[in-house]
Amino acid sequence: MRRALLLLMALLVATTGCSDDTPRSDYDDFRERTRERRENACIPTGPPESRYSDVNGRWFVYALLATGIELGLRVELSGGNGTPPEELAARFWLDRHDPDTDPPIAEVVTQVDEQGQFVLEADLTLPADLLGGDTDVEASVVMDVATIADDAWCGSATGNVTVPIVIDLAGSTFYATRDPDDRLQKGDVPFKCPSDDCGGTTEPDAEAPPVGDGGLPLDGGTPRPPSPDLSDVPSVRRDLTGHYLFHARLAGAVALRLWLSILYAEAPAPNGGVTAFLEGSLRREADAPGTPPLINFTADVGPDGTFEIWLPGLSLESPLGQVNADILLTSATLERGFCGRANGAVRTPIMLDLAGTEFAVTPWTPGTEAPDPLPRSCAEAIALIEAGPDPDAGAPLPDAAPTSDAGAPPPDAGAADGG
Amino acid sequence: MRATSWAVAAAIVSGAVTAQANPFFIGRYGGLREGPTDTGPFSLYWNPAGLAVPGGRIGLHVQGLMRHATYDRPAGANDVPPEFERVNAGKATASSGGVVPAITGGYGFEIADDYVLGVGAGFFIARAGVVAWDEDLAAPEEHPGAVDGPQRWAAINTSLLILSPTVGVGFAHRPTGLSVGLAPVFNVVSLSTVRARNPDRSERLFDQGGTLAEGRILLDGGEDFGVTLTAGMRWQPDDDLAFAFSWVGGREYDVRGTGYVTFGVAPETTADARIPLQVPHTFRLGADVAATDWLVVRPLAEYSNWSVMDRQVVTNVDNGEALIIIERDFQDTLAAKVRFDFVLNDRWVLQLGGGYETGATPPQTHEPGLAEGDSWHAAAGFTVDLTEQLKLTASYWWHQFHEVEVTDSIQEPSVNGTYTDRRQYLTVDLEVSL
Repeated sequence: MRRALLLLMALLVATTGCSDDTPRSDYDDFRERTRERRENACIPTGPPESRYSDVNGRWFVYALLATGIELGLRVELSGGNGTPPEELAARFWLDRHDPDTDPPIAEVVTQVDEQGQFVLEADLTLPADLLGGDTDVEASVVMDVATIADDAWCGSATGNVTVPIVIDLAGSTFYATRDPDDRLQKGDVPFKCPSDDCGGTTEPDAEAPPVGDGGLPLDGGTPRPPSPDLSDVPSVRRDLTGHYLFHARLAGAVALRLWLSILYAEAPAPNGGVTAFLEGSLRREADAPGTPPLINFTADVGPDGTFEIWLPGLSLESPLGQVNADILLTSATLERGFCGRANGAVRTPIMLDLAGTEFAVTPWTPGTEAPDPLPRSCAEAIALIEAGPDPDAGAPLPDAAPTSDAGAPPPDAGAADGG
Repeated sequence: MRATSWAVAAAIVSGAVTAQANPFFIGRYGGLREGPTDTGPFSLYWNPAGLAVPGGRIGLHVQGLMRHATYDRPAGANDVPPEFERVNAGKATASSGGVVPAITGGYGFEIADDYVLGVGAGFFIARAGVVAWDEDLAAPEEHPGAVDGPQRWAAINTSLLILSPTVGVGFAHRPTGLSVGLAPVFNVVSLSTVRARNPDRSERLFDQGGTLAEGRILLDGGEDFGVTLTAGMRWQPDDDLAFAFSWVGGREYDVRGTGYVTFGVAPETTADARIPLQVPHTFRLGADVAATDWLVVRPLAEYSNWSVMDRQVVTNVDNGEALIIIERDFQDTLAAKVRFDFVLNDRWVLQLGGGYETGATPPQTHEPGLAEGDSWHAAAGFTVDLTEQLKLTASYWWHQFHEVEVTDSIQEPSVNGTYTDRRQYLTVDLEVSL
């Protein structure tokens, strides 16, 4: 009876011109507009190739849960004997906790197999303010872990948020790196395995360029220019983890200085040996720690330490105005930092062909004065190295880790083609 | 397992409940004859003491309403980064219209010479709101949520209806001119609403991986039922003077519905949700003063205790967990109105009216669709006796809200900015004497 009355009156309360525009229809319209994005969303199928390594110790874990929830955790693994298979005790803290003084939010036991794989299954209670809600969030999380390096493990997570609302966590990813001093924060490390194509590769509309952090296009369809020749620059693969100041004079005309953060990692190659990759982010030189990056990128590092960073659709402010450019950086690893040559083009505020542009990156502590002199080419960087000791050796990533709040994107493999 | 979404009811309250002035009050029964002194067929709503009039009557009411509201969301005042200004900032508009009917009938029995017993029954929609914010069809395709406008984080589309079948009785003592009345009101609430929502209350469009993060919360088919009372008294010492007072009871409804939740690219979740919907008590005081043979002045005052809506807590029906807490901090409202009836001849009465109302919502909790700032109205109408048995009343109202500038929004995401709202009403009432 009540429904009949409501139906009758709803018909009477006809909304002029809006009779087909209801909350339900608007909701359905949104789901239809985003249907392809859901269907094409990348669900990690399993952990990457794993090898055993002793993972006892303190780790920082950065997870990107389904629905876009970021989570920083500190995890302590202990009790192992360094010989697989082994049983480890895992204790979890939130990233804002001090593991030395605060009680863990969860404690579990796991078995690490001969391949270095293990599963962390934990029931977590996350304070309301952590996720911006009004009530504590309870989640049952299953982390499927692969050990990819002595100092890194990663994988995908499943499970559910159970309170206050059920959310399927399928598609969640995480990345962990050693952090014995509990200094790392979200944004300092990746949130997924390097081999994982998920995150930033969703292409919902063939006609619309995919979009990365901060609305930057991942690849606006810009053709990648040819790689500059670097055969004349000596290069040796080294751990490049740290903060740097990038310096270049684009086409010899436009000075460009940027804060570059690099996280370097190595992993076992399928055919033996070691593969190396890096994840990085670019910020303005004057940005404060915690500032979201302009763009994130990944790159595979070759055996000789060379790598390429492709930054299509790079957009940043400069004294000349808004600079929009498509830049390919072909790099060689030096004793301190790296250098290389660029190709591509600046499109605004002036058109510049970047062919012939050289650059160099120098270790630097963000927020401090720039090193002086500051090289901007391979020749200048090599000459400076040969001239004397490191002028600014205090720039390892953990020491100057840019503290990141929830809005600070981490280095993201989806932002650029590693080349 | 069924669960509920923490934002389901948030959307309800923030969007739907706030769709109208004196939130979602649209009663204009009898046009400018409104008020507790009314003895027409719609006295069943205004003051059932007015039912105690000899004879039978049927009243038909149709109200057409138009609303035009805007919300300009500045990027700077809401911390919208430059790259998202196009989709999370700017001006949103809502233009909606509707037709709202009501019907009532009653009969007054003379008991001896000194008493009249009147009874009546009717259907009213005194509180309703249909707000659909205009779509931004030029929004960039790469931001699929932006079509719903920059206000979407607070409200996209809301439909609220409180249908109120009512029966009433009035009793009059002719020698003293005193009458009293009582009317039980059987309220059926229907509510559906949708808004953009992320689990962390942010307005992020993409997650750190570049994957769609923007979501939607839909509450569909929210319903509740509750009985309230309307009571009043009326005193008419002579033909030229009448005083009246009425009370329209309030109630806190427990609206329950099904929530549909889409967060980013995660699978859709459905849930059972409940949200309180507070409707205040309203007290009306009025008088009819025949200043001359051709002029009747009718002052009205109205008070609603909207402070009952201080906060709303959305809970999960399954586990009772608080899902979202919405601070409202509503304030009691006051309205002062005056009507002038110009008696042109035996058949025609010209009516003019105006008034001022205070708003229920303080700026810090103001939201799109929540046009509850202070307002004024002006109206004109007429009543004509078409025949001895048929009377027509019509009126046109202009209801203008003050522009509201919000700089300290406590909503999340924040909804600082500039709000405008204006409404127009056209009422037509037919009264048939039996």
